[in-house]
Amino acid sequence: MFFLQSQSLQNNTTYVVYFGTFGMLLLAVGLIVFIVFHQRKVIYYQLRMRNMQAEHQKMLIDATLNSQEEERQRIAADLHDDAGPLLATVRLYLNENLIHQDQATQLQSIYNAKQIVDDTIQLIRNISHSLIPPTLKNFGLESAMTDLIQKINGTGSINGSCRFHDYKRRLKLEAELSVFRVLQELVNNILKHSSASFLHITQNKSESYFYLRIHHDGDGLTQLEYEKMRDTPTGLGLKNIHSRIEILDGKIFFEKDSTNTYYKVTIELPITTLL
Amino acid sequence: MHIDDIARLTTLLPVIVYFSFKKKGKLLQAIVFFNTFYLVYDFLYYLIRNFDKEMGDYFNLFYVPLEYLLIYYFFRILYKSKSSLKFLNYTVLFFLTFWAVSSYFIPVSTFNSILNGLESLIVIILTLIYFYEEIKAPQSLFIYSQPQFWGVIGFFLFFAGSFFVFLYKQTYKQEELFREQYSYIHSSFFILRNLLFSIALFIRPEKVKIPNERSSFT
Repeated sequence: MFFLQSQSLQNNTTYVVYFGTFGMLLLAVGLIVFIVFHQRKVIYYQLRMRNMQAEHQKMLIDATLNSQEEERQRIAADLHDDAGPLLATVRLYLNENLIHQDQATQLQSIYNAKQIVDDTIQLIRNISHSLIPPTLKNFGLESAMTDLIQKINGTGSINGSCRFHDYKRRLKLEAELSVFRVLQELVNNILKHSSASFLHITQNKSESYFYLRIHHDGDGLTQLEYEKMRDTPTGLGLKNIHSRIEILDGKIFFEKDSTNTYYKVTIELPITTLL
Repeated sequence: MHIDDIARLTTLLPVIVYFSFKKKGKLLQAIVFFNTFYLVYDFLYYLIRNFDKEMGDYFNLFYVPLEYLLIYYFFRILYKSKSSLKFLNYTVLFFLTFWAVSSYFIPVSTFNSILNGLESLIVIILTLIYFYEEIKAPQSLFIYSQPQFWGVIGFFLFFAGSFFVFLYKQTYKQEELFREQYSYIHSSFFILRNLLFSIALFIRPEKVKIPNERSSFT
């Protein structure tokens, strides 16, 4: 009996050892196979992500270049269509002076030429202001935005306001211009597409971030819609906004208020963008 | 020729491969050092045991901690992250303490199953950490084209496969059937380990690395 018990115990041990070893081996091999395939999957995923990032960046660069090109074409068109004919007319008046020696006609001609030169100066000033608003250059973003809002209020179509809570330290000039362009584009979009009745711009600052917010009560975008539209070939304005914010290492958030009464756009910039 | 003797002979294989191909690298040296240590220790043990059995047993007492120190050295070269290295250092302290305490209570002539089981478990955990590091930050497009991978799975398969026989050896060492079982299982995994080490020393590491730098938009 003891012998039988002992033999049965030994058989059990044999099974445990064999099955245990086989189980451990199976687990180990399974794990190795899993790691090999999973690691490859992870790498392919990472490579795909990197490619997508590179494509996205290329798209942003294209958008920036396109907008620059558009700006150049606009300036070229302004100079060609407006300044060109004006200067040609001045030339005609001056030519007339050479032909007509009568003093009264000469004076009239010079007066006309002076009027046209004044118009040309005004035109060139306007072109220059559209490149960089003098208020922005001289007095900063707060004044430039207040100016913009005043102009918008003047149209009577929307009620706008602008309030900068803590702007003692200005943004660096390039950052200020970029942020102004972004705000200009956002305001423009609100005027064009949202049918909003009010628009409110606020500025705030925390220890590490600088915030700019636009509230409006029209039809706005959510973050998902913004990202979707930004990645379509037609969303050039949104692409520009994204690339300008990205260059500044900032973030932009499009949100809808939980009460569904207004939309909010928040621009978040690192504090290092300040002077 | 018994399987134990064949297993012993295969210890030479990685050493021969190493000296034939003369590949550089601390990790490969660690593998060769590990096998050379086994050869020398086994030979010395054989000599001492023939001279005095008790002295042989005392000599054998130091085999497991020294083996673990060499494994520690291998993983120390292998690990990249600080937290893994920190964990590795703790395992050494823990293992050596455990060895000292258990050696005090268990007679020298008895096989220390708990110590060997613990060593196996620690090596399995260290291998899992290596795999985790590889998944988190892959070093190469194909993990199996790296020598370290073969070295690690050499240790991993050997300790995973021998885990159960190590656990039972202390109790069933005297049983003829178990001794035979132990011999076959342990020697098979020992041979497998040496073959995998040889692959590690033979394989040409892949030169194409994964691009790591994130292109910046500036």
